[in-house]
Amino acid sequence: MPEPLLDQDFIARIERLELVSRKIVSGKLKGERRSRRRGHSTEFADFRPYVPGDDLRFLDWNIYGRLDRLFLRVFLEEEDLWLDILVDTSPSMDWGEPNKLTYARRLAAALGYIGLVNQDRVRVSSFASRLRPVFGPARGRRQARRLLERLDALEVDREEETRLAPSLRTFSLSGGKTGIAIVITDFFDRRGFEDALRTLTARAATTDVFVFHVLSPQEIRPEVTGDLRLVDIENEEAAEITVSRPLLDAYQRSLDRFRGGIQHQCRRSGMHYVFAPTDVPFDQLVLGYLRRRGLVR
Amino acid sequence: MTPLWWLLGFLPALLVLYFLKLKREEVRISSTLLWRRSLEDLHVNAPFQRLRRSLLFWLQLAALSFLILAVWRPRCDRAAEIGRSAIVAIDVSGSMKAVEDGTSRFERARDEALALVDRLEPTDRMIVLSFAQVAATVQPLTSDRALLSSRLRSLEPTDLPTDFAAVLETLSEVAESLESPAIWVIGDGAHGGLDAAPAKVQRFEYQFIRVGGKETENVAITQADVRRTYGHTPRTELFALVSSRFTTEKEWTVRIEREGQLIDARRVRLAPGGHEGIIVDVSLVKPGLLEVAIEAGDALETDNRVVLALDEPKPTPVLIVGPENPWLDDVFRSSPEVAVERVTPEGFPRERLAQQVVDGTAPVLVFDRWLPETIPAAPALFIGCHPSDALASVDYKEREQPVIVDWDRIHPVLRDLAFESVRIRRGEVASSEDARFRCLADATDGCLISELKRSRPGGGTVSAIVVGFDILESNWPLGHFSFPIFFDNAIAWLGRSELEKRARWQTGEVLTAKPPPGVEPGAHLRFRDPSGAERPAVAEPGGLVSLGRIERTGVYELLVDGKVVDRFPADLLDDSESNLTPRLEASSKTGDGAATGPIVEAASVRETRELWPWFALAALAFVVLEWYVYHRRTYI
Repeated sequence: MPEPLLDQDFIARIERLELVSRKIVSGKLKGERRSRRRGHSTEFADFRPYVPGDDLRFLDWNIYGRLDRLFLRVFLEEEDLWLDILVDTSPSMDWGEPNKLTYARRLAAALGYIGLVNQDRVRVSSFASRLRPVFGPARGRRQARRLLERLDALEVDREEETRLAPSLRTFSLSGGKTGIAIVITDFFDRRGFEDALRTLTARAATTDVFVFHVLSPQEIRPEVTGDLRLVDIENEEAAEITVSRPLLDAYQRSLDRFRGGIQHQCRRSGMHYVFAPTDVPFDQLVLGYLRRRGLVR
Repeated sequence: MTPLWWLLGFLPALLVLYFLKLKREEVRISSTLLWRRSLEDLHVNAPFQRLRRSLLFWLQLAALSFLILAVWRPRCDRAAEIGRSAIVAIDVSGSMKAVEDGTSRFERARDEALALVDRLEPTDRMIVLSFAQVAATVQPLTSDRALLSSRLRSLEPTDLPTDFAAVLETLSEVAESLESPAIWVIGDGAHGGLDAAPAKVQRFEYQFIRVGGKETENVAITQADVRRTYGHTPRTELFALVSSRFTTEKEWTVRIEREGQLIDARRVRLAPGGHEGIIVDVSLVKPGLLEVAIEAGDALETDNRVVLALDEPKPTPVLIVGPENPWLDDVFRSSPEVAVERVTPEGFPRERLAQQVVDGTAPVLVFDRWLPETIPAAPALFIGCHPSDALASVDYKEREQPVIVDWDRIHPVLRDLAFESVRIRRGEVASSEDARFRCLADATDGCLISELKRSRPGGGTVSAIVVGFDILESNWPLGHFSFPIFFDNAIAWLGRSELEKRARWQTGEVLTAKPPPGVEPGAHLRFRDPSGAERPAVAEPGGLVSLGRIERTGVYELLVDGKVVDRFPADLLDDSESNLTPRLEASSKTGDGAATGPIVEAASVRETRELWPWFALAALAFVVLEWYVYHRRTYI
């Protein structure tokens, strides 16, 4: 029997966590999140002078009595939070030990669960060459079971090749849904990651975008020897190599540049880059690292 | 092994190498993106990347070039130039059959000669000679390299002894007919030098290419014969001398066989350079071919075996000339080993005897109180007379009643005889200081029985015994045992060598044989040599047939009407030839190119010239280097 995405112990430990957006987000409903937009909530924020047209119900009559001036009480409007989780399901994700896709599903499950129990609107999509809905939008603890089932059933799009840019562009243009966006991918797109991250930049203005870069240990420190014919499982392209020290050193340099490039572009666009090797224990990432990075508290 | 075989040997290895290169393990990975970038990174950063990309090609090209060069068999001209006119003399003597490290000296010498031929320029000319006892032309002067090679390849070694001085004389005569010739002598140097050579030999320089080892171990039979001994009990004995040229003391078994059947075997233990004689009594062995062989795995096989003919003793022919003498007739008639013919002085066969002397078949002559005008040069017994032509320095004096007072008890003729009671009425006593005169029985003032060496017209001497009294004027025939024994001994001793058939011949001798009775002069006979080849021969007017010089050991056969009538064993029996140690002193050239003697040690032509193994090795090195670089290669 396959291992469940989240075990009960772990669920118990994330039960009290909530997702934190550093940006005040607006939602259709008064949710549990503080919004930059002030309005009709119970939490007092400030006073401002009355202007014609304001709702007279929010006039502070006590101040008028003392100062003979009309002031309006302004409240913080509490809104719901949109949590968008995008999981890369291209064939390259179904590789490595521990498996990258499994790691991505568990990460999505954990963050989605936290969102659901905190009454956030949670939506999960998958992508390879295009974006596909997987779950939601939905909220509430009762949806958690369905979320886990959907993620459990999430499989690799065997026939497709990674195309980050069109998928993320679709997500960015879907518009309106502000909150937190989580992209989980290995960034193995032979067309490059630059265009894809650029399409997310517009979204990053209103949304906390977290980019999870998932790589397996075999990709970080390849343990190969001899004369090899490497075949890309996405497009069957082959590369013949003879493993040598200079080649392995060159690989490390390429990997560092690859990661550095993604990180740099994320930082410049106001997005958060999280490097997630699959050999880092999952609970350690969620309960330790993400907490320190302020995604959850 | 030729380079072509080497190439064929390498081909499978190259094919395996090629297929190994193609065989790569396939690994499926998530993405080749980073690997491609890594390879590009290496490309960009690698120094001399353009050169490196084509390095494999250059290495393969170099390997192939060296391989092709190796197949072409390049040669190094380290040795001196052959010369516009070259004389190449190759040693074919018996010692050249010595085998060292699986190759005979002759084969090495021939390879050297072939190498010289290969290096001839188109305008150069060469004459090839072979030499042993004498030098013989193998190929007259020519520039045809194919012809020279063909003649050299057909050349075979002989079992002849070497006369190097005579050979050098011939070489110098040949050299005189050419303009500034280069003389190459190829041999083992296991013979003497220039001691006996005439002065003209010194006018030329001889490039001596030495083949064979310095200290080659060999054991040989250097002397052998079958002889009858004449004492009171005549015996036939086989004698063989075994000589060792080993550096350590060793023991061998010597087998003596008759027609393949073992009749005796002896153990011989010899110190380095030692000799030991073997004597075997073969009196009771039936006539036939005797073989003496040493079981030794030494360098030279030829001298380990000797074949000798053991002939049936034939009665010694005796011709008695003189007046009637019944005592003498009786004494010869009673001996089975004597065939007596008696003639009167009038019937003396002068012409027949002259021919028999030439043929070497003359009987022992007994002149009894009578002498012809010319005494044939045959062994003779003079009774009551003496040869006047023998020695001028012998004085004969008549004596009345001479008494024999002493006699030579060691001489084979008088051994164990007694003359005390012999009384003589009248006799002649002889005296001489000449070394060819030997007194056998002394009277009081001279020699009554003597031995003389008479000169033979063609050289050499024949023996004669002179009895200085008429036996009819003595009491010697009456009751004296010494009388018949003396004549028996005298005839046996006088006829001992001249009438015996030779037991063996030596290589280098001219074989002449007497055909059996009934073969007329001019008759066509055949000789068969040890290899089985037959050649015709003609009986000469003298009754002899000649085969010519014996070049190979073994048994030669005389055939009449296809049937073997006589056999002649020929052996090496040459101590000098069996000594395989080089004794020829050749000088080395000094720094300024001058040599101290006419024979100059020259470097081997054959060993210094072949370069193809080095080129093949270089090709292999490049293949290995290419293989290594290929493995270091890190681009697609």
